Amino acid sequence: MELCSFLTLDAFITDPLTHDFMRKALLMSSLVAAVCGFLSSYLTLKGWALMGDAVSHSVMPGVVVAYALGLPFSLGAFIFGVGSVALIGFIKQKSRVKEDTVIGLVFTGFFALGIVLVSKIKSNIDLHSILFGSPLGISLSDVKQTIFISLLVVILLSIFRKDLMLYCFDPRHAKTVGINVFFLHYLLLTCLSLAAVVGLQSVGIILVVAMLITPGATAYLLTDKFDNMTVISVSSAIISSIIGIYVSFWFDLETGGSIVLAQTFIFLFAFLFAPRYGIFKLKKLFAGYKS
Amino acid sequence: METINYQNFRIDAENICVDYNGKVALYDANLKLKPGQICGLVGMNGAGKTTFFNALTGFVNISKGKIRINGESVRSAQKDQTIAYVPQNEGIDSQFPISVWDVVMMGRYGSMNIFRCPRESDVQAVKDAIERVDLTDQLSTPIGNLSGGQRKRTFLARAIAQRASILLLDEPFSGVDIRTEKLISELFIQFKNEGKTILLSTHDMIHVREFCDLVLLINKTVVAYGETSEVFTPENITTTFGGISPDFLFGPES
Amino acid sequence: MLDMRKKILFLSLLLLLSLASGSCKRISNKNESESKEVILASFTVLANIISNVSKDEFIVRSITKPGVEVHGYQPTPSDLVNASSAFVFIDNGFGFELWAEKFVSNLKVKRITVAEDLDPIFISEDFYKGKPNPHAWISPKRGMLYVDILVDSLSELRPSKRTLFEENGKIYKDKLSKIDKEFSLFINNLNKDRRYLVTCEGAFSYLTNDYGLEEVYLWPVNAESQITPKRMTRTISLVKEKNVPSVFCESTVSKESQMVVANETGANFGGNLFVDSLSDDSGPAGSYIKMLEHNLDLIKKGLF
Repeated sequence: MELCSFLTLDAFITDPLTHDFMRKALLMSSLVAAVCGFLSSYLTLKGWALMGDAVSHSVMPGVVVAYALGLPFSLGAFIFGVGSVALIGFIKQKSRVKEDTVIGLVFTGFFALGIVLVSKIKSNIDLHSILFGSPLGISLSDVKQTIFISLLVVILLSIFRKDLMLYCFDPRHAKTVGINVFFLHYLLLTCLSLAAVVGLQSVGIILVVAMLITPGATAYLLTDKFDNMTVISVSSAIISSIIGIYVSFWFDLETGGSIVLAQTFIFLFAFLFAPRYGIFKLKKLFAGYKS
Repeated sequence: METINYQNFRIDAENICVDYNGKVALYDANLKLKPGQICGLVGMNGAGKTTFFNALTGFVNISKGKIRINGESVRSAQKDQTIAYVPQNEGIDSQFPISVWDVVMMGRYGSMNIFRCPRESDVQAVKDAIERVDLTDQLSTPIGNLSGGQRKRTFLARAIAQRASILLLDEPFSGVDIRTEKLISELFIQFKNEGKTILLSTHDMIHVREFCDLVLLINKTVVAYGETSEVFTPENITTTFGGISPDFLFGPES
Repeated sequence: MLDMRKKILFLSLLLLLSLASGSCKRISNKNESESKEVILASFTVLANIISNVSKDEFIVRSITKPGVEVHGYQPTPSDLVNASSAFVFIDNGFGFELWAEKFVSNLKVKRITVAEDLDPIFISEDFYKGKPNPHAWISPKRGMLYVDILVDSLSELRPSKRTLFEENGKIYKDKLSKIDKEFSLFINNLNKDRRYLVTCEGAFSYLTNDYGLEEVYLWPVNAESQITPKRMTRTISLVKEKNVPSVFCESTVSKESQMVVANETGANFGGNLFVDSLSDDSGPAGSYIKMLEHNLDLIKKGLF
């Protein structure tokens, strides 16, 4: 019995890897998940979950326009992502409307523009592939773009890791000691746009929001140290991708959705059993068991 | 002539105005503080205390007037780490996953390289600062697990580690235990002797009388400013608080 | 400063006005030549077949534009305006136009559904399992049935023109019959182990069924590009095993996944097949006939 399960376990792991498209999907999703996970810890701490939602939806018209003009669609997505952020900042500054309202207003406007453009621009744009994406059908040029953008984001975030932490924690102090808060603000938002762009290709506009929010929230429940939080966030995101892809392979499920569901389950696990902040506080359970 | 004049003052704010989208938060405010002076900033909620702090740190831009810090612009004061800001406990996210050590180290960021790698001198400065606020046994404690007083001391340590010559403290005594209060008041005396300038906002009249050489009463603009003994009168306080008597405001203890 | 603002306001108003007047003009243009009655078809392919039967007797329009995906279409207000003045609304049925029910229930317009007189092939998989596959026109043989049905329908609408419609239908069916015969001949000459049609969406069931091809696809009809690794693997291993020379994709969905299959198996990507919509006049599938020719040519080239 034991031997048998070992054999199947072996096959369970190696079987999907015999396919080139599975290896590519595994690699790409893990990379995207890692980038989004890295950023996710900052978004969680800054309270920018809604901003992640906003940016990922706002890239939609950019994708459509880029398709129509024959440009790489990450470029269009990026421009509209940053544009939405700038517009949110501008409206917030120049009016008395509250920030969450402005965010909701701008991104739904952009999203609607995208939908209208899809119906108006005569081209073979598949709305579904933008909204949902698929890590199984990533072209070689997309792979290159994804790797390039991911590396860029990781490098930027690594260089300004501590400054961004300070910015999230206490922007006033940052400003007081002469750190360029304006720059950090837009750096974080630029990275967010870029992450949305890479996430778009593997899981689509709607689910990339989850990739930007869930890993950070999971990590937040599991640690009290910032560095650990980033590590946990990134690794939980990567593990979710691997689990999601395997599950989708063996149980014949849609891949992007499976990845996000895996993230959600890991979060729920942390929510219930996190040593300090979980509902059942594992540590206490163990302590009770021992005594 | 002017430059000589500036050098005598740590803080020299002249007729400053701050508005948020056309809504005036502070107008025609003046403040001059010399080294070694402790000044209390007293006013109602929304009277512009935080705005005043924000203007001095450069966190908001002034729409009119002039601010000189040690005779220089706010920007160069930022570069020189001249001003340290100690936020009120409510002003920080206490659930942020960060330890006492990390918070205090943030006081050194301004003088580090771009990667914010601590040098030996930074580590030493952080150690010393933490020792001065008596938190050496809590070095790696996450700030979420600290008491209100301990958290306040952590941020004071950050200001110390920064080696700033001007300290702005927002409600330093609110929500702290007796031990912390005693430690803070001892530190104030040390700071004063070191020639640091302190501007602190408070609701508590006793603290003003106890520590502050000067007091600045504000209600969108300066109501009164001067030596505590002269300015901190019931009449002025009543004006500052919009006609409400100080007894009512501060309770029987005053 | 104030002047500047006024100028900007003025300019933006001007822009708005010109946009508004532009769009108004378009609607009024449409309404000008309303002397003949209008048949409104749900999609371009059907509209083209109808106009070949009716010739000058009716004006035939399509609700969906060339190149779009019909299944998930959302009608616009101007569609409703156009439809309310239409003589009859003709749709395909078999659940192809999901929006048609709501659309027609809002209007007092006569409705003809072609599929009511057709024998369905059922979708064999997934959520839509057991529902009829709507893309019957993709096979020239069924296309001829469409013509018969439409000749009857139009004749009932206008009995005096029955002979005209029958004549038009006959001419048109001859063309279709030619395409049908050519393709049958091609398939008969094609080696049996080459008779595989690999596409993105399972839209070609009627063609493969009518001509004896084996149909393989990445996702079943209506599954909206939701690919699972299993389907991908199955397709890839089949293409490898059977040595299928070319794989194809429908023009209205994303072809990326099929490109991956092509790359992995070394098969050719045979091109985009038109199903849901015709292309622009300038495109390769400007009419139903051209669309069939285009598709069957690609398939011939790809499988030969």
